[in-house]
Amino acid sequence: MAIHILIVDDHAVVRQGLRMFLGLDPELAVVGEAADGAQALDLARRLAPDVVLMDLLMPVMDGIAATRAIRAACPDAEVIALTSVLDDGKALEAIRAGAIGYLLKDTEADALCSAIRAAAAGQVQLSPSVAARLMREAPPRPAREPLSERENEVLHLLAAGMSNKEIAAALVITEKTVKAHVSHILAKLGVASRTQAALYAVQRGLVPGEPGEA
Amino acid sequence: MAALGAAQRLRAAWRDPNLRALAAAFAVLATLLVAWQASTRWNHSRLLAQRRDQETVRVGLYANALSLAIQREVSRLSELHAFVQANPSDPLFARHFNVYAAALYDGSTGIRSLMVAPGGAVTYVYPLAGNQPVIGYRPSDDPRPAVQADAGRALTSTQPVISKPLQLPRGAVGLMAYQAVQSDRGYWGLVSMVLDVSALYSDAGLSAPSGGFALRDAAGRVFYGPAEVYARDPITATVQLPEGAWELGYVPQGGWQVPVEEHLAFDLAGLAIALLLAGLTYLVTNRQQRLALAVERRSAEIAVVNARLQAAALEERQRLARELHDSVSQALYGIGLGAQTARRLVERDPARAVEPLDYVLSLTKAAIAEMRALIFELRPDSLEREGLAAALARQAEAVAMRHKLELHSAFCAEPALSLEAKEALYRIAQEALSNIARHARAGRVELTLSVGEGSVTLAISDDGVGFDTQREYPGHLGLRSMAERAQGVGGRLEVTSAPGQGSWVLVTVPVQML
Repeated sequence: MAIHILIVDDHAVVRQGLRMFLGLDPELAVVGEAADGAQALDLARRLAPDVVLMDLLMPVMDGIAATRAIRAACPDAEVIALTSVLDDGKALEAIRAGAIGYLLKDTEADALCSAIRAAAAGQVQLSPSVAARLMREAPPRPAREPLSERENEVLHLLAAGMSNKEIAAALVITEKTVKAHVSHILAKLGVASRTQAALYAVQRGLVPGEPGEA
Repeated sequence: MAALGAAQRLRAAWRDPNLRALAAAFAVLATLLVAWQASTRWNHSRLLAQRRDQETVRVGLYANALSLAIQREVSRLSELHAFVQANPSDPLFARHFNVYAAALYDGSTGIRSLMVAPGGAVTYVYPLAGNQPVIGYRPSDDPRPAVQADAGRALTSTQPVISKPLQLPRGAVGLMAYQAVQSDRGYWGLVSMVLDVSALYSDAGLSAPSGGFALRDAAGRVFYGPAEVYARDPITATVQLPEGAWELGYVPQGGWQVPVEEHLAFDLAGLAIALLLAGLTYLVTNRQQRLALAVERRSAEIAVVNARLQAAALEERQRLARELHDSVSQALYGIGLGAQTARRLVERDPARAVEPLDYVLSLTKAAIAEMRALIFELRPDSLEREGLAAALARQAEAVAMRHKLELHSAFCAEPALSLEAKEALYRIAQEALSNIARHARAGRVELTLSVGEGSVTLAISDDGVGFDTQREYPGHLGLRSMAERAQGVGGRLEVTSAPGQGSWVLVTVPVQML
């Protein structure tokens, strides 16, 4: 089944280009286009996309606010922030708002496709520099509720950069169960995304080293 | 807190140039008044010294005159003495004495009586009337020791002997003068006279009304004039007598004071100078303080204007950065995506590669339009060089291409507007187009520039979602700044819109009268 994508960008030419390029890959299906954050939230609710490609600088409702709203309304939709030079500083904000990762608009087109696939598989992907920047921030608050043993195992693997499928195989459970565990973990830790959950695990010393890039 | 407020109020009041100038003027006035007082005091003492010098000369003259008058009178006694000496045994002595004494008496102002006392007893007296009791009087037997002493001295002297001042009847001051007459047989007798000195005062000028004159004898006894003269720092002069001397003392009536009229001019001139300088100080300080205050205010204003200009420059740069982000960088990203797509399709399905290549070409064209618009923006003289119509066309074209809008535009010939007015119209169009691109979700934009009677009209409209013109849009100052720009060049801005109805912006600017 193809990965459903929602493109959010206030520049029509960029939407057109993205749709054209992503259309080359039969596993990717662009199901909708939004020109601003408000439209994006509306479409995300109606279309339930797997991945949202989110421009950050937009009128009406900007990408940060839209990411936060979409993550709250549709937890299954992973958001990838698309940034250009001007809004570079907003990448961290997007991660904090719940984006699973971010890409610069100058990124190789192939990287875009693999990032979309990884996001759809629930794989945390962060460049080491961004991870380091996020790590330097204040340590996360302690979990609202202690994680169960199984949830700890899932968090451990998630932080190691595994996809839902890989985690399911490793723990010999179904992928659906993994997703359920992950949403429980996010709720208990009080974070908005897998990425933040992985950072939490690294900062609390639950897993050695940094979350890998792939 | 109240004290703090009061202190602040005080500090604020102290910034008042009037108050400062008044304070400076008062300081100058106080200093000058002290100096003025010192100088008037100096002037008074100088005038007083001058007056004393003048009076000293005058009093010396009076003393001299009195001395001469007394000597003149006393010399008549010597004449009588000579007469008696020459005729001691004249049988008609009484008759001759009367004639001679009458001559002496009539030529004199001060003689009361002339007497001849052969053997020491007064026998002849002139005038006889009123002086009969003197006949037979012997000065050497006078009960008053001073008179006895005078008479005794006369016997041993050839010169006239002068008594101390005497009190004569009717309040006059008198002198007795004696001279012994020697005959061939030795002591013959005395000639004497009573001199009314008071009668001589006026001769000497002492009775002048200006006078505060007094006379005292060698023993310090004041016999003429008020005794307190000698207690009031008098000018003194010696009155030489044939025997001994008196001291004439003088104090002006009212004491040693300089008449007001003599120093009034000096005092008033000093005071006037002090007041004048204080006034000048007030004027100069006031003006200077006002200038200082004005400079301070102007500097503050300039600082504000500078800050505003800097903020405007920063805002402009941010706007240009945003423009670049919105235009060229998005176009380049799109070109990259399109080229990548085409690259893949060339291998897989070359016929389908036409679409992405067309997309790349259109984006390239758009990017060039954007770049030209941006470069136009960056060159300050572009509007002047190329004209408003060309600039508007360029701007509208760039925005339409970027946002895939259908553009309908109509421009009149270059209107006769000031550069400021053109700039305002250009900025308004830019803002309106930017608003349409960002908020309107429009498909079609119309832009017209037309010349009417005395005015130029710019109209920009779209078929987008519209908005409520009465509502405030926080953080969006676009509409207000558009209106301000229009008003800044004497024009008017009208915005018509409603949700779902598109929007219509109309600017009218009066044509410049050349």
